[in-house]
Amino acid sequence: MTSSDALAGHTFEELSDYLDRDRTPADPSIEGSPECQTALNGMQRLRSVHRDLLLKDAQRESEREDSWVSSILQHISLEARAGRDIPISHSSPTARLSVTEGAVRGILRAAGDSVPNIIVGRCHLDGDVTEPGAPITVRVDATVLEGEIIASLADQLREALYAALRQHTELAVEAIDITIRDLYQPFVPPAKASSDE
Amino acid sequence: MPPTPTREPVSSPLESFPDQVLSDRAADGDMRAFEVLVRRYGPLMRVYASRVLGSNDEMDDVVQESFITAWQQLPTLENGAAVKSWLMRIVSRKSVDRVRARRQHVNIDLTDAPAPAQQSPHRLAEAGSQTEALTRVLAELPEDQRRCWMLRELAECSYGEIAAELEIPVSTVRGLLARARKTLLQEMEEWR
Amino acid sequence: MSDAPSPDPVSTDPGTSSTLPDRLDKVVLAVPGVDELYSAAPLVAAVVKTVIATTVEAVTGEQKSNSSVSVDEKKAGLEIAVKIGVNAPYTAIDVSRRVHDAITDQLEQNGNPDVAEIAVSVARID
Repeated sequence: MTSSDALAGHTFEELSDYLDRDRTPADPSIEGSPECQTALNGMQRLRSVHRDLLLKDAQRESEREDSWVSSILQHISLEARAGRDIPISHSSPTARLSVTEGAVRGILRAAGDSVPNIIVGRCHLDGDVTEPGAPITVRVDATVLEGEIIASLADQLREALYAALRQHTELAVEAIDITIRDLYQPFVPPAKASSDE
Repeated sequence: MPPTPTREPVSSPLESFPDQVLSDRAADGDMRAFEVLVRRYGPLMRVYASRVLGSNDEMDDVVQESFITAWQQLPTLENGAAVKSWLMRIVSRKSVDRVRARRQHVNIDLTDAPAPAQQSPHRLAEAGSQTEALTRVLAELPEDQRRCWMLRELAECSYGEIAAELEIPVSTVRGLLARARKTLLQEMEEWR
Repeated sequence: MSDAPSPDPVSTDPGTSSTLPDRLDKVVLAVPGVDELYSAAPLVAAVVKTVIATTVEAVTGEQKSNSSVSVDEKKAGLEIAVKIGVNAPYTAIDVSRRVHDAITDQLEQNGNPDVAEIAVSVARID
């Protein structure tokens, strides 16, 4: 039984808080008290039992059939992310052709995904994209695989983005600014064994 | 050969992207990135919802509503790396709303959510384990303590996030958490 | 029940029961590079339109259209709006122009009505 009365002058609340601070900075009056240690170990055990329970439950949930995922995806719409209409020219005076800003962000991401080891995050089109010929600056956030040479990857990415924008839009792109926000670790699926070399 | 890669290129399937990138892309309208988030955190959100609701009947609805809200509000999420606890807070809110609506509906004053389905005789019979015991004790905690505990241990929210979520001072969060732990610990000791 | 033909050139075509928007749906989907056709009417407008259509339907017995291409008759002529998704090897520029031209062709075959505007919006490129 964990008693709150014999905790070397500490309250149970203090110990709980101490645990949540990852026991730092170390408090000798807590670490040196057997009663406190018993209480802390109990809380730690509680946490690990709870983690086991969670893992089991979450595992069971991930094994369920997939219908709930598709039903969620059916209820979300691209409309909310369409953004501005970017005009596309046509010789007919009654034609009003456009591509949405959301679609353009989509092709920027796709173009980025064609360059290995760099991932495109958020994209912004600065300038009046609704005005044909208006100067536009594209701002892109990217994440790079740890250990890669950033400048070289950024150049490759910039080329890919320019090409995609030329293909799909008539935007007068003055510059593409790429900000490397972060580095990421390569992901290795646990079951995958590397057999080359 | 591409110029100067320091190792073999990683194809970077969307599933391996970090949370920050996925939530940034979803905020920009990338449905596939959003789908990965749904698969990554949906199961945990379902567990969360079923714990609060005490049954699986409304779990699908609550989780679906939570993700629809998340899709709408993702552009306002400043730190995409925190998307997990952000999602958990949404499902926490939606679940609690559902329980409250249910109470108003039946017009019965319950101080706690109904016990989870896991308490059925069948489950108890096969129980015996600490995790089963914990499930039962958790269900019997007073609501405010349980919400605090779940936001902390399931959603991995900070004290500050919990305080903001429940609109109570951080000191109250600290107290509720300690009481929840103490109760759970006492109950668990008795089962040992 | 009288057989009086509707004077509206938009909604009926002698010999077939399909409306102009329905036919335009097919025409647009047949353009290479178009892999999805979204409802072109904004959500609120779509609701209002459904209410009106239902009322009209009740009065005239006319069939309601479930088409995605929207066709409005204005004084200056037809206003046509299309919202599409484009297949990535194709480009938004090419496909939107081809969709526009395919609609123009169809209208020419359809009595060449006055056109105020043909709006083609590319909402997604995959």
